[in-house]
Amino acid sequence: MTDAVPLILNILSAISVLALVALGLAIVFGMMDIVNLAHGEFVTIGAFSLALMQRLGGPDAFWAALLLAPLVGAVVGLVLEATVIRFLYHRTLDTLLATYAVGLIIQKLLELTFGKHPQLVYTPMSSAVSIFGATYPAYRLMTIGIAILVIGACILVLTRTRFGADLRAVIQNPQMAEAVGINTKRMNRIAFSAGAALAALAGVLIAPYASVETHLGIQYLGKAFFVIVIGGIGSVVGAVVGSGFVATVETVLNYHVDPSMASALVLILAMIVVRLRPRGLVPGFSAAHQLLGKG
Amino acid sequence: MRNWLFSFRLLFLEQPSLCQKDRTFLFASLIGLLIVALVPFVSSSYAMTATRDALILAIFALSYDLIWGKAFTLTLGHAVFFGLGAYGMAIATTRLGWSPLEGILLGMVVAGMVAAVVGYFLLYAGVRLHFFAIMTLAMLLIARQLATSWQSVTGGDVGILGVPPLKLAVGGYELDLSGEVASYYTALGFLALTLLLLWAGLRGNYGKVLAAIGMNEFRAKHCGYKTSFHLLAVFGVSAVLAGFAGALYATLSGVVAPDLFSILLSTEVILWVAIGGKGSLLGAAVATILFTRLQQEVSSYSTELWPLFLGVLFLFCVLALPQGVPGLVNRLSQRAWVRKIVSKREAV
Repeated sequence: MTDAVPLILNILSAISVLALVALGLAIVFGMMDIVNLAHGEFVTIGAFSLALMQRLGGPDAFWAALLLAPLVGAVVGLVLEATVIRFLYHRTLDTLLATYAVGLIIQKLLELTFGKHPQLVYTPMSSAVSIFGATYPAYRLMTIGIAILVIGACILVLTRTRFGADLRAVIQNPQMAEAVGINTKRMNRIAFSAGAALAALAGVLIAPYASVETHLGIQYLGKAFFVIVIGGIGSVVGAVVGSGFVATVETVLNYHVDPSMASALVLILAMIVVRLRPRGLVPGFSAAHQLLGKG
Repeated sequence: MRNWLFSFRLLFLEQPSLCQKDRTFLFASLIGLLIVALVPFVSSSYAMTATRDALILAIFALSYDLIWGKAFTLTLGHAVFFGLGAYGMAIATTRLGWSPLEGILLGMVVAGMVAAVVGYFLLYAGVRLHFFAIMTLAMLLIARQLATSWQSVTGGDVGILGVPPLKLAVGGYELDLSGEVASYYTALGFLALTLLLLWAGLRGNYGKVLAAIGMNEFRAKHCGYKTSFHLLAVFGVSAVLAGFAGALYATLSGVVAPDLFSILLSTEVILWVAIGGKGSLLGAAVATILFTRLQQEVSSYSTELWPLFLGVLFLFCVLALPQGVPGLVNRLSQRAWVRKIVSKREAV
């Protein structure tokens, strides 16, 4: 029992971070059909803003960063939307190439300003908590808590508010949404920068136990896309289920085999899942599926 | 066997007659190859080696043009096959003691098999468009991790040093293709061969089948084509070709390192093909050679700057040149003032 508790908590914290990254992507990629390869860079931006704020304000600046870093992410997302993405709606493959370029530029700019070496980041709480007879770092528990709160809030906003209904309308039928008076351009912009903000938040949360360097985001990017494809494109619940699948398999495998072997096995499993359930575990709405005649 | 012979006949023997466009292509290719063939007579030894590397990368770009330009299937992980070819070659020759020729074959087979397995699972599941691109990107990330962590086989971060140069034993004679000039012409020869084969194979009906699948798979399927099979076949051939380029690269440069599995290489190849014009084959090869040379020059000033430069160029290309340089030329030639100039010249 005492062995199982840390394992379960490890799995939960892996799921929660991955789900945060994937959630933003689920909206942007799954629903708006923008392949945002710069999504990982928002994770990096979140982690770097934490590092910068802690350098200026000491370890306790973490709490400020928790609020400010998503803001930074949102602003960068807004700028990206306004300068690049705006011209590329309905040119899905081009968004992929363009955001890839943007990602490369952001990565190199960060590298030029901050240097290649890992940034120094402090954990805001170093204590450990004892639960069910096992001790576990308090910080990780808090990560799980924050992630559950944020994901829950997102699902509520999407399903229970006027804004969420509008957004879903824009995603499912942009022309009709515009006809009934929804400002589709504004909705797209908000959704895109919200996705960026979620990724930046995930960046802040993982920074204390990851190596904060410019390649940080790219590791999460690949996994997050997996999550979406497995979980079901265009479904928020699917993103959470998919993160559950990927993070659980990977964490459990990490106990038994080499980490890179574990990622390879996850990829193979993911491909088998995709082969068996082409629309994902929890199928959602996606324009691309309609395009492919699967919808 | 009969099936293979049949498809060979279909691809290469039943050629449609040459039209104006084909003549232009052949003429331009000939001129291009001749110019490249003359490089060793005028350039320094460094520039020659650098151009040779660019020629090999051009073979790689052709393999990418096959899958993206001709079959409209974007992948983000094409460097995997290049890397697999290189590692296959290096492992076969340094660890297993095989001859270079067998090493190249192993590299190609490994790349082809990985493509076949991955392609079977993804393409037959109906994973298409950007979903396919993403899955191949994931494949690349994992290949890189494996290359760095599976030290006993891949040599880890250092990679494998001392890959033997290309020497072939043909009927008692030893053909040494490792010298500076010899390796240059070897690379050029293979590039020309690849260009010719791809062009000849796809100019006829099969190219049209692929274009149909790429443009509207749904419709192509209902016309009776097994679209998943054709895409898988093209993906496999493209991977084998990329593996071949990788193996050639390994034997000529003598080292392989995990850098081969970089996202950078996968992206550069997209840029080359995009700027050279998707599906134009020759354009992709020319763009590759020019860009690789440019990169080598920029990198000699600062290795940091190149990715930044690449990113900006890429963004510019997507936003301003969606059809690449040939598209720009086409668009320009529609303009009234250009047409006037051209027609005047023709009148004279």
